[in-house]
Amino acid sequence: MRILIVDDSRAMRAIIMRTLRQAGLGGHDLVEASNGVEALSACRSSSPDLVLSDWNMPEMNGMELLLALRRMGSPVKFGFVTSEGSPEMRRTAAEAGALFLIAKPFTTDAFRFALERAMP
Amino acid sequence: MWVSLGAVRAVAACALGFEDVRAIEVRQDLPSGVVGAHVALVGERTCCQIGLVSTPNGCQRLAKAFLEIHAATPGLLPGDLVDAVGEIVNIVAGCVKTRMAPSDPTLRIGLPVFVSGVLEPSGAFVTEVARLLIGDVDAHLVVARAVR
Repeated sequence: MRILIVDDSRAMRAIIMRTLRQAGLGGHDLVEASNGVEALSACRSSSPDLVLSDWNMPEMNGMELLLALRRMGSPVKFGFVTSEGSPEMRRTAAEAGALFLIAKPFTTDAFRFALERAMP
Repeated sequence: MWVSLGAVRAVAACALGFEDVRAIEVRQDLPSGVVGAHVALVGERTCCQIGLVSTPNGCQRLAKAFLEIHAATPGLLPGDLVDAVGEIVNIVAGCVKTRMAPSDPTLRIGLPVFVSGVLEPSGAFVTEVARLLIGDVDAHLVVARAVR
């Protein structure tokens, strides 16, 4: 499985990759992008099975990325990993088609729980 | 300030591995020689800047804790330090936003800005500074709130 990790923070991308490994999900092919524009390009070229995206990013934010993917007909599974975990953000994410929203700071268990439900 | 302090405590425990965050004192200004990151939170009822600053060495300690790098390893490169401390403050701001959402659901978070020195808000802001011990790292939480 190929997982695309989208976050404007290099540190956070590294932490997400480390957490995936700790959650027993490190054997997958992990691809990185630093904003929505790069992620859209990566989705076209490498067809990930799952996108894990930050919400608040320069250039193109995570919600704009999700909507752009759906507009171009991509059915890729999509989850947010973001510092904003309010009920309204969760509702907005779900209505747009995100499978889950993991709020930062997160635990390995939160990752495992969300991904096991999204990728049974 | 207390909402932000609670957010720092949550982030320190979960993302930095520091269970103990102690507020030493509340003051109006920052000591000289500090660096750190600030993030804006803006909504219809709230406008503030939240910052977490320390000495350059203190920021290295916080960034290494975030990245789970041993404190004794050589210092992070400037770009990596800016990125890591910015992300720490971004997560703190996210926690603050979530906690304040019931009173101002219009709040939005800006992107983090790293500042070497003291942030000088205009006279429209009231600034509070809390000196903290995050684990054994001496740091300051800065909350500059617009008076409306």
